[in-house]
Amino acid sequence: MVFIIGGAYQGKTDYAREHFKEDCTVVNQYHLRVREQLRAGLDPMQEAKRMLSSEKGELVIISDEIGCGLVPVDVFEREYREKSGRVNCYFAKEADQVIRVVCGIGSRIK
Amino acid sequence: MLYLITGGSGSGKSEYAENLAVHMHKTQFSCGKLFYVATMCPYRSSGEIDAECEARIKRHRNMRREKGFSTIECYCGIRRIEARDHDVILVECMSNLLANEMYREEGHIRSKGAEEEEEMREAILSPLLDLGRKIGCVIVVTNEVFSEGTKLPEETERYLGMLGAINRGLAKEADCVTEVVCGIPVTVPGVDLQKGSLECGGHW
Repeated sequence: MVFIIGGAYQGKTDYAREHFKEDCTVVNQYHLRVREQLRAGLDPMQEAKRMLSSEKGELVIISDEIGCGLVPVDVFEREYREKSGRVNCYFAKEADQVIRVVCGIGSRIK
Repeated sequence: MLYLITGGSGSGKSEYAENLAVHMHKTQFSCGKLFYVATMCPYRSSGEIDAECEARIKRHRNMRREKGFSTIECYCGIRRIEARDHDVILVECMSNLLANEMYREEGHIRSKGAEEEEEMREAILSPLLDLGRKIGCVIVVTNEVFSEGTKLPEETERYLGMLGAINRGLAKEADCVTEVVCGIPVTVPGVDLQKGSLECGGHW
């Protein structure tokens, strides 16, 4: 599995498109899935584990890095930010490659 | 030559960029001039002084006081910057320049259509890329503001989208992209995966 992270608007999707084959399964904007899962009362970590165990082919997961701003005032936003970070750490641990995209440039950090 | 320097708020990117400009001027382009393009305007649209901006400007002026820069104030319209041959210019900073272009009265970016927005981005990008090819060295400071995470208002997202696209456009042509983290410059190396390289440039 390949995990692509970076801030918003950094060119992560373009990077994936340029560097990985079309027959890969691409799961884009994973952070939004975490958000939806939390809204639905699900445990994002369990959902992440379930997804990895069910995907068989080559998988590319793309997610925003969202932990660098101020602590959000809203309790849901705080939980979302925290859980999203934990899930990102889990994906990074399981990934064969981790690419961080800054200003359109991908750096392989794992 | 074109350098792009990014980093979070208070990361030390400005000081790093200033020192880089001075270094380039001293070691490679000493026959040219050393310019500092200042983009922060201390005045509000109403004409009042904005105390917070003024304090920030003062801090930056103090920081670069004895470094030998000639300052050009340029809140909007980067195209009018003239530099030649062996000059070194430092543009501080893109996030401000773009905000001025989008939200100040004299700014040029008004339309919300995708095509017009691209044109307007080009109006900021192309003069800088041209200078980068033509003169000694262009150093652009930008801002890493893309990892907030909370749901932002539509207009803020529009601004971030524009800034992200400008940053990518600069980075694509830049000779070096550096992210300053806690005062430490980290080169953004880029890896060609097709070559199967495992090297991360030794910077991480």
